[in-house]
Amino acid sequence: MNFVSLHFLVFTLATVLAYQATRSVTVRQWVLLIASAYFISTYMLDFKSALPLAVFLGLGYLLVAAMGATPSRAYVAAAVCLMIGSFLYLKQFFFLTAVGLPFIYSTVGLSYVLFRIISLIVDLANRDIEKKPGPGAYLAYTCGFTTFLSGPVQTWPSFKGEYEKQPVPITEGEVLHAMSRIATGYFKLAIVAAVFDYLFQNFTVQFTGAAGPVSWPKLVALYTVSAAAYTGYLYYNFSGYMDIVIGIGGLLQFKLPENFNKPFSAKSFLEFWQRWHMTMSQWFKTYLFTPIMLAAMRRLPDPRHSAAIGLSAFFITFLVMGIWHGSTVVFVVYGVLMAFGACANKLWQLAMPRALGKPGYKSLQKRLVYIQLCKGLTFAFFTLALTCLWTPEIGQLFGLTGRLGVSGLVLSIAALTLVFAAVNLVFDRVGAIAPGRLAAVGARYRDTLAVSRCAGVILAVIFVSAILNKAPEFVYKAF
Amino acid sequence: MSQQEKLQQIFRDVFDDPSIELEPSMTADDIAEWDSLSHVRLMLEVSKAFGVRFSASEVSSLTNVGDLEALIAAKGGA
Amino acid sequence: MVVVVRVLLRVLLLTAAVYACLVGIAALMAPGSSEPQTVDTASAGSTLYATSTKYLMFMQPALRMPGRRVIVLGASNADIELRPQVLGETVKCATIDNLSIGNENITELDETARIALQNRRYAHASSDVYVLGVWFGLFGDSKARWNGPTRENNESDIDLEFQRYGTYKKGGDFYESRFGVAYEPLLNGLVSPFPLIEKVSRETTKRLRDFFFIRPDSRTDAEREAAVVSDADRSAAVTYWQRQLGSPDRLSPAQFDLLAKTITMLSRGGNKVIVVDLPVPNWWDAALPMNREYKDRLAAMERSFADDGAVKFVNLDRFNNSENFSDEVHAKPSIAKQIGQSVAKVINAETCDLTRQTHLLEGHH
Repeated sequence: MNFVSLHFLVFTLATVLAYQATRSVTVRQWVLLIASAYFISTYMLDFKSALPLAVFLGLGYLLVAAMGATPSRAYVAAAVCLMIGSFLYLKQFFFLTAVGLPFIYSTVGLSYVLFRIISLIVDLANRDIEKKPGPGAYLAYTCGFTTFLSGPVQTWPSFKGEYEKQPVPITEGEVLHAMSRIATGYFKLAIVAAVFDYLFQNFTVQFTGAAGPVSWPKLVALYTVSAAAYTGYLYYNFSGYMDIVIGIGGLLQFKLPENFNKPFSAKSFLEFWQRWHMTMSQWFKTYLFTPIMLAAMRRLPDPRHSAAIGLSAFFITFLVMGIWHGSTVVFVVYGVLMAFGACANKLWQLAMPRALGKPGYKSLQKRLVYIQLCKGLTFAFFTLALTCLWTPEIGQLFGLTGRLGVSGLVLSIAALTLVFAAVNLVFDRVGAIAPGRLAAVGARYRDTLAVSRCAGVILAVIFVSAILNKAPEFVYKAF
Repeated sequence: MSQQEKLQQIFRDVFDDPSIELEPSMTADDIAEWDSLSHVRLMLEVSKAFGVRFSASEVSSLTNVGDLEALIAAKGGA
Repeated sequence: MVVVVRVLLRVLLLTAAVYACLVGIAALMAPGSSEPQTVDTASAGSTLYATSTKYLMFMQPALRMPGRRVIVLGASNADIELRPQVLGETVKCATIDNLSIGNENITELDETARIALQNRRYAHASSDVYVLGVWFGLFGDSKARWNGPTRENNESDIDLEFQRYGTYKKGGDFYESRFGVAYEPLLNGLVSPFPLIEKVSRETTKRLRDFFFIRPDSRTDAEREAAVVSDADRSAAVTYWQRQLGSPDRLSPAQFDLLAKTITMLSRGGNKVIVVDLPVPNWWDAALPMNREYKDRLAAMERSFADDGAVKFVNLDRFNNSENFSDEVHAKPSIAKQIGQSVAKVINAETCDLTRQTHLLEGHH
């Protein structure tokens, strides 16, 4: 079901109205389940193509239900490995392509279902969750239509609180706030991201595929702007989708966690991942990074080993996080780049206080030029690493980087860093002056502005979709 | 030594800063060296000192000193 | 639930109000009924409709006006070499329409022909003249020509245009208005804000797009007149057309079959068809075998229509000197005018002189 389609809008409206028409918790839960089942069915070709997902869910539920009050570590490890193994098999990772299923099936949403099942298994084993979920709650948690495609990854306790809370009448303010959020999401997804995609397509066609030979300086320039356009496309596409689902959650009075917090204001690569796809980062931090750190630090308690342990944990976590994005070899490269970025950042943070002294490093971190350059370099590195996502074959990736050469890549990173730093500086200045005055006006006409914004976005979305002759798709559902 | 004093001493040792004065609202933003590495080290020291065990989920989800104090108390830390 | 519905209604009402204003603005800007009702796709850029395909779709009512018509079909070379103004200097007994669409193949030419025929039926027309400007570049297979993410069934640009707003459905000769021709003006009026917004966005981003992106040639007439095609230009043109045609060395036989069917379709019911073999620079003969293949197949087609008095083939090879062209296919402005004047004489002889003779025989003066 395309998010920019009448089908989706009618589906959402019907679900919201049915949900809000009742004060019964049980009926509301059934509405969510039925709506989610219908939503997922639109991604399935036929019953057979839904079977692998059904079996995957069933396996997860069995492992959760069979878990004793104090399960052994071996059981937990085996359960987690079984789910991960099933996931790798169904997603047909590059090392498993020879042994696939003999029919076409959908793997949409599978990554996020895996996250939720693993968190249930581990949290139950650690007694962070007291009571196992029943089948209905389990399905609503793993397959809820608002979070099925690409999160946000909600913890079970947070989900349970919303799923079981007693209904209260929704206010006009809440409806307006939620609709505004949805409107913002559609503006980002269907207009801003679509424009970035249009730029990306028109730039990349000039140096890829059937295009004739291009001079090296022009190649570097085109590659740099293409990569930047792709980053803009990915961010507005993904964060727009998040605004839409969180807004829909608002209409259902179902609070969902935020997934983005101004990621491009991050002053380091590590901080970036605390602001970008936050729930996924948090998941990897909780279920991979922290267990590795705890286990290693318990074995090697000497503080002198902390740095080495930390770097290893970062490397493994970011490598796995990168590989998770896709099942082909090129995502291994992406994972290595992510891991490299994290480790380089951490090494810098460890080395600079030694080189400049703690007060010297603190003073450097407050300098405006240093801050903007750090933001620029973070953006530049992330943008270049994202090349792996838009050159899906390893041959294409190496071909492109070969043509650019080390000097081309260095020039690209430098250009992205400096331009981003300069633009950011201007925006920061403008942002400091404007909000106070705008906020005062905004507060007075809040309701009118919300209605106008929704109407404006509806018109803008249908016009831009018609001009670009395609309804934008949500890109992250492929991951 | 009260729980808060004991905790404060652990913070001062882990972050090598004798001037740290704990407040319940204190977060990682208030202490420069409090990053993901030192956070795990901190939690292990707290775990040893108070005789409690934290799950990975609990370690990851703590956001401020007040949450940590409440968690120690809930686990019967002494 | 009532709260949700109430807020939603407020939003939809405001949306409808703004949209209605845009419909009004678009209505003011659209070519009006008081203006000359001929169709010239070359003028699309200066109208509300911006592109030739959109222009053609919205200007269909102009084709329903009574009176005899000469309708030019073809690609961009037909557009510049068979200009209505040039043809009209000689052809006085009919209105000249230009339905050329740049970069088309025979499939799209056939679609344009169907649009013309369908609309001319409303005028009960029976003696129109269809002038088909052809060259080898039109004979690329549609699978190669019309492919991409939005073209699952190899839809042409015209297909996409008719499908864009949902106001047309497949039917009749090609596409017909969803609720019948009586409601066509209403439906087109309701969707008119779309071309309005597209026009505004095109105009405001034109400079940026021209600077950053690959765009078609926009040289002035003086620049075209002075142009010299280099060896590098020829080489690039060969690569480009091999890609466009989907083959390194041959044309699509299916496109020739389709041209024959199009000619037959157009020549029924008293209409005439003049197939103009538009000239291309003679260096193509050495560069690719396709021009030779095209000439042979066109000659065979001409022979097959030899007994059909409603179909005439015109050869313009005398203009194929390489110096007559500003690029690999388009004649320089002065040569284009000469080509147009030559073809106008043929059209006049086939159309107006016969009419005059008929009038004399029937006692009209």
